[in-house]
Amino acid sequence: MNLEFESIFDRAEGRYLKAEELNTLTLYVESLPERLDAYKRLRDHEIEVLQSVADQIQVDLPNASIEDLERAIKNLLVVLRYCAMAMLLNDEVFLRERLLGWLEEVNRAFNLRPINEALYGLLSQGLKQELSPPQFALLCPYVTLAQASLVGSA
Amino acid sequence: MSVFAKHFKTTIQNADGRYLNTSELQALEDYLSSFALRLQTHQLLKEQEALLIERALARYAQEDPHLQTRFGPNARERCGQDMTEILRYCAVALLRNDEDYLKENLLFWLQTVMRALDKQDSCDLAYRLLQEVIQEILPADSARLANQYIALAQEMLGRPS
Repeated sequence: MNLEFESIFDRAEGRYLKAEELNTLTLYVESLPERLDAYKRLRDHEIEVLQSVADQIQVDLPNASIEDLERAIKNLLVVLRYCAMAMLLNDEVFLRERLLGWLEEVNRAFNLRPINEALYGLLSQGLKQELSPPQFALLCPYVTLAQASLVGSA
Repeated sequence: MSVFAKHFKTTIQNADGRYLNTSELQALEDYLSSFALRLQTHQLLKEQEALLIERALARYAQEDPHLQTRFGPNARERCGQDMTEILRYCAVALLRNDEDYLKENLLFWLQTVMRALDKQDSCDLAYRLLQEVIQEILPADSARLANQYIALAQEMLGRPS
């Protein structure tokens, strides 16, 4: 559960929820249909999105080793799945703590930053094509967070 | 199950690195479609709390007039306090769609207390009456939802040890 919801319920221990607390929950629940649609769309079209990214990256970075490209694309797949879950849960902490912490290390160790830089640009284009604008807007903050962590940090 | 339920954490942990499948997502969709009723019921319990407790206590006094003789002069007041607490935890649990929340945050502990004080009979009666009163005062769909949780309290607190 995201931290905001968790703290609402922790504070409400033994009492009813206040109007503004109920409002926070309601706003999230009202956004769930769009989140669920976006999530299912990502799940069902994951291969198309990533395949087009994989095809294009070989054109854009002809000198990169296949091994590095494969490693970076595999990581990208995991990132996209975690971003999808974080978007569904409205939970940035989930993405940061469960994935980005250790993935940053891996990326540094293999020096995948230049490849990631190109990959995230392509991913963003692919997602814009696959998702509706409101769905892309829901997912975008999480992809941006991953990008900042895996590209932004040298 | 909902995103707010303790149990959902397990679903997420089990899903590590894969997408949730249709049945896991169905649980969220079911929650979504029941949320309006949950919200309404939470608010009704909050608004009607005083009336519900008062009426349940009055009925209790008719059915068990010797409560104070057995458990002391403050027994009625304490019974009312416990009922209020149960009602509030039920209101939060039903909003979360989370029976585990009710059990883990209140009922396991209260069950130990009630058993130590040998009050299971009183609890059984009190929470049966509270369900009756809820059914009379709340709209049918809200009463059904709320009583699912009160019934759990009755079962756990009223069951002989």
